[in-house]
Amino acid sequence: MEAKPNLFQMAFGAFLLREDAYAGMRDDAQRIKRALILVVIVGLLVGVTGAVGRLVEWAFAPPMDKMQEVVLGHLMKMSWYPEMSRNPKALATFQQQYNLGWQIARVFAPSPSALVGIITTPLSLLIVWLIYGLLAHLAARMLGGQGSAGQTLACTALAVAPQLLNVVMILPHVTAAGVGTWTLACNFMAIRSAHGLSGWRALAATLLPLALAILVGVLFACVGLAAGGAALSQMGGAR
Amino acid sequence: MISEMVALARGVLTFDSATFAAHVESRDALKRGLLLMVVVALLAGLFPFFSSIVSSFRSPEAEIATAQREFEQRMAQQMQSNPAWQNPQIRRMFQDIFGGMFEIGRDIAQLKPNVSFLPSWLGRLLQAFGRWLSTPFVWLGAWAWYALWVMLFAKLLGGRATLGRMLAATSLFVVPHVLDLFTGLLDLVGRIPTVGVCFGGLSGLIGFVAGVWGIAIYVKATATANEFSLVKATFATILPALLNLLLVIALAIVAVIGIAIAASGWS
Repeated sequence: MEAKPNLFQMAFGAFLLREDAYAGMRDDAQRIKRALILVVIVGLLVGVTGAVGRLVEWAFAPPMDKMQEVVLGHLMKMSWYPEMSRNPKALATFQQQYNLGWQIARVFAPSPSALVGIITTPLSLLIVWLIYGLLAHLAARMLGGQGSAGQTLACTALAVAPQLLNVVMILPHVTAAGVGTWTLACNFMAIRSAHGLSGWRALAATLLPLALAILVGVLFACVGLAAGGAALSQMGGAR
Repeated sequence: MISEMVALARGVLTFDSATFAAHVESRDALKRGLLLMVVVALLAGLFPFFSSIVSSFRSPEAEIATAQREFEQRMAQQMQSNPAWQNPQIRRMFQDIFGGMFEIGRDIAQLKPNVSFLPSWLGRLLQAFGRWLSTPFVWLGAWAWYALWVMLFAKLLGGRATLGRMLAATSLFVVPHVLDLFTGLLDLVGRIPTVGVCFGGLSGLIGFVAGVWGIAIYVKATATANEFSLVKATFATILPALLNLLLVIALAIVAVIGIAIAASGWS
């Protein structure tokens, strides 16, 4: 009798899109427990390594506030700046936009707050896995799938395997591109295996939750823009 | 393992059908394909990485001064040949902005890091190392995304590949890109003033040969994985790029129309 593959072997097989890895997880008696452990372990690994990498990047980076000062000092020396500063309204708008730009840059720049990723990465992976898994299960069932919710969740948990590529980010300045595409491919294999669907139906079930997420995102963006626009026009009216 | 990889590479480069078929059928095909991609991408980025190592030990001021000199030379050529640059006001504005940007770069390079005892050369070295190690991932991302689209079109044309087989087969396109190792070397040599121009041309030629060879292997791999003709494989390979081009053109037209409408509204 062949020994049951451990979680790492299963994740490796899933990463290499091997059907037996997905089938093994689907038919495992303890699939949900194993799926949960896999997602948490991958999340923790990615979170810790990512945080270490970002922390090293921060250590070598110049302080953002000093950079902001340097850039402003040079902008003030440029020929257009004195002309603009004669108009107080234009100057105020410039300062507002300039500070906003640096605030946004600070969000993306490496900082010690990257350590929060040790907790948020596994949490976000768990949440995304649960929401995506359930939506994909509904889509697959609508398209004639036969799998149970547990089987879908167990198989889609294997689709976190490509996230392990992000472990290279323990080295500063390394970016792991292609994780999203590979995750999509793994999810396709997972849904196909869990529900025994044909290629096209499995593809539709894989993409439907993503399409829904994009739709919700666009809706939120529209509502946000409309609310922002209304607030701005109110502010303009008040002046 | 190494001899296996060399045999595979030789068979792929000579378009040996048996090699393609055996690779696609193998259980470890995708693993081998990914390994090939990592090795070739790292080789392709090796000489630019060496160059970055050398640069990381130079003072950033010297690096910025070199970049500024090269930029100004290029701009001076542009200004002589391009009528749009003849307006002295535009020239002054341009020099003001770009001169200022180099100044900013110089001053930022002089700032001490957040952990002030760390040597700045080590930071630059880590950056170069990170960029080099990121190369395989950039290749992997682009290749996997494109392969999914090719597979979609291959399916529409009656292809029979599974996802794993398709990815494993198309990963072989990287093999001729071993030549990028030489393009990297020639690009370095190409920096030598006067003589460098000849090497620059040669580097472009080698890059072109590697690119075309890679596409031909991609087509053959697509045909093998999908068990259909080379004509269908060519269509499946080209169609995603063609559609992408059409989409870009359509978006550009929409953007131009949008800008024209906005401009007419302002005037």
